[in-house]
Amino acid sequence: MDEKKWKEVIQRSTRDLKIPDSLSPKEVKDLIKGKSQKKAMNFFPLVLGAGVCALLVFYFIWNEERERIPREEIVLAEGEEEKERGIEEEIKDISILLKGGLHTAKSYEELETALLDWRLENLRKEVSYLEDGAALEDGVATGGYLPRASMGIEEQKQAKIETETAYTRVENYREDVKDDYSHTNVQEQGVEEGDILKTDGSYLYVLNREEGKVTIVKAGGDILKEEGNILLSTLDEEVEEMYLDKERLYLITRGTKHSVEEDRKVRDTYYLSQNGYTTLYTYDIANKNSPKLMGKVEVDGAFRTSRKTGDYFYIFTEYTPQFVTRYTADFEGKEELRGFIPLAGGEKMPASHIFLPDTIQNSSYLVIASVNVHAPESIADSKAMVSSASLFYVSEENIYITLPDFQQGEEETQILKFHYENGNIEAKGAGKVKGRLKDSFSMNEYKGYLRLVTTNYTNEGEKNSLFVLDEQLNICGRVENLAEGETIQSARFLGDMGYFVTFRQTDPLFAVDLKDPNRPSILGELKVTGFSSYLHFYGGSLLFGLGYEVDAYSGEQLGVKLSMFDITDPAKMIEENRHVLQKEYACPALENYRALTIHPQKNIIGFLCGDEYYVFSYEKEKGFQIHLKEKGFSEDVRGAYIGDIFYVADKNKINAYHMKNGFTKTGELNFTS
Amino acid sequence: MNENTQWVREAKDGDPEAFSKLYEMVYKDLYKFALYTLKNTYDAEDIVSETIIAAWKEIPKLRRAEAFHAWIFRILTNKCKKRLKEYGEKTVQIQEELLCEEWDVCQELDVRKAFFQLSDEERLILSMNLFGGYNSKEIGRELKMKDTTVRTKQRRALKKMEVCLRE
Repeated sequence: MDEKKWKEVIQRSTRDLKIPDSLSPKEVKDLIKGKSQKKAMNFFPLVLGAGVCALLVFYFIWNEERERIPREEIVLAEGEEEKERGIEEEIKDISILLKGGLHTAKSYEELETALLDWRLENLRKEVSYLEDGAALEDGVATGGYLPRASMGIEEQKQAKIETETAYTRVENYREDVKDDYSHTNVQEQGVEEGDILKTDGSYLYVLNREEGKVTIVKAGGDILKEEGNILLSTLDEEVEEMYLDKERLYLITRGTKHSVEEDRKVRDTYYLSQNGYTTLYTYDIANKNSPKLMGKVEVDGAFRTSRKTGDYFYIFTEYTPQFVTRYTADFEGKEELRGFIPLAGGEKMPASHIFLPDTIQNSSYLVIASVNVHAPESIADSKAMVSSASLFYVSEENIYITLPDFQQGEEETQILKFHYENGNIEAKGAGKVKGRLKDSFSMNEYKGYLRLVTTNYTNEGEKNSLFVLDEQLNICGRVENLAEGETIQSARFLGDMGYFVTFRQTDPLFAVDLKDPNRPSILGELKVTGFSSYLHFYGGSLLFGLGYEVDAYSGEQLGVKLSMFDITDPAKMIEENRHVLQKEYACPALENYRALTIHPQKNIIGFLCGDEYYVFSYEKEKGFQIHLKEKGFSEDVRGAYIGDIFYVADKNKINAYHMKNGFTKTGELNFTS
Repeated sequence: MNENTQWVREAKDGDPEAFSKLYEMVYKDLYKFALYTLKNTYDAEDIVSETIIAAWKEIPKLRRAEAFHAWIFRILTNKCKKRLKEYGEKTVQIQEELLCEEWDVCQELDVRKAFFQLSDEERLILSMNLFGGYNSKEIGRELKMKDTTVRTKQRRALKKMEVCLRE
């Protein structure tokens, strides 16, 4: 008898089965009538009748009384400490620091096995199926079930109120006054970031990403003249970022390698593989007419971000090993892994440089590679970790990488810390906090402590927290359950002070906990309509906020808002002035802080809004004043200044304006193609 | 939008009438599934009513109305799995009345008997397939095994029944 027939026979055997009366639909209707349902949380409405934001100030008390929190509450679950034998000293230290959470791979085989196990496990529970009610244990959603609250986050994303903010530290509030030209707006002073417009005070360097072309323009005073250009020789790479350092210019590109390989056993079977890679190109630009390529170096993985500190570049990529399913004669699929060791500078990374978490969440690698600018053809150091990565924050000494996690229906953020110095990258620790981070500006390091603000989306609504983590990423201070029902929109830290903006999504009530003086405490709170999703210190006692204005009753977004807060007295912060660009919503600077040109010492705030590039100034009495409002630029536009001349540049042209002369246009240069 | 999805919507909004309409479409299979998996009428009755209550409570969270059928069987599957685990190693005596009642036709009785000879896992797999309407891929995902394994196990189970009935 064949299978189908058998199944019919079994079905037939149930035909006359008597079903208990208690299970009849009529009985069941009565049964459920008395039982209440679990109400699903509503999706977050964009804004519910309360377009008000709160600006909070924190003061960090740096004394010994800081509350110690038992270790078990924190850091990745403790596991067995790895007994490393025969491995260099440095690695030993790491494994002690990273108790249980992760360890360095002992061999390539260990890596391969771990990745293949992950793959098989993952194949088993592919997510695509039955979107509804994942692991329903005992009829109640647990485990992989995606709670409503996290869908709210998606909703929020759609609401496009996410962005990044900027930060400058108090004692670092230098803004390089000795240079009379602008620098790219960065998160951390002293840590350079790449961009598409750079200047050294004499020349402007404008990057056209798609064409892989840099135009070098002599500028300053009345001059605006194209001097030379750099054209990337490879067409299949796209330039991500540009750096400038005296007589050198650097380009970081993203590329994809394709390769075809024939199966060794089964002929005429080919495997196509694609691998992302990132390249750093170094050019000698001493002679602007003819820049020379000095060298290039490659790291496996798709480009994520980069930083430069002193003479070293730190490049972050994401490398995805490829799984291949090979079929045996009886069509049992067998998983194989190819190219699972990322190359850095053309060499396989040693197993001892690759960290393996005890529980793999993701098969891709986060790769960190450093390059000494004086050795542009080699990798100085490289470390990798089998992990995804969400946000990157690089202080002057450490790299913090976060990844969101989900534990028992609660959102968590895992934090990995690497110390860097002169190109050496060293794993330092791992920790975790409740909630999720808005952006990299929700993190800040000061005196070795990492401060974080998070929003936790729970079934009871949103809760915000502030954490202070010590050098080993143990939580040593915290304030929780802040601003319930609101979400953090922007944050900024200034020495012992921290500022953050929360915005109400659903609940018009606002509460702050500031009972215990031994914990970081809230000093003040200010509520204004709309919210700032970007904050920047503007001179000693002013804080500039860029965000959106929102109608307090309807919740409708009215336009892009500039705010200037007086923070002289943290207990009595004042929104000194505001300016709303009515009905303007598209503002690239809100999504990329590098697109903002902001220099308090020149009193200029420049950015694109809608299809116009604006330059504002600020004075207490006059408020925000518009000095420039110019159309005709593409979305990727940047502002810069040299002396008294302000430049607005995109990939096609540069306009020059005299700042001391009412921003009158003094020049225009269209690039030769 | 067909009728079912309309009922799901109404049930989500707390309408017992709509929920009982949905239930009416599946309850026979729910019971067969439970009985054939658990081999016991009391347990089957118990587990089905537990399933209904859980489904009623959780239905507001059901996102895709079309998934109702698979979703409710999923709740049942998990409950059965749990109950089987509770049985543990102890052998459950097959109820006499299940095997000899006046409506029993010889062959049907034997088939049920043969079915009950199968292992917990085999019964669960077959029930999921026959009454729950899952294919081997879906069963594989649910029970964390490859679909090829599911098919092999299914084949082996049917073979076992055949041997049992021939004796």
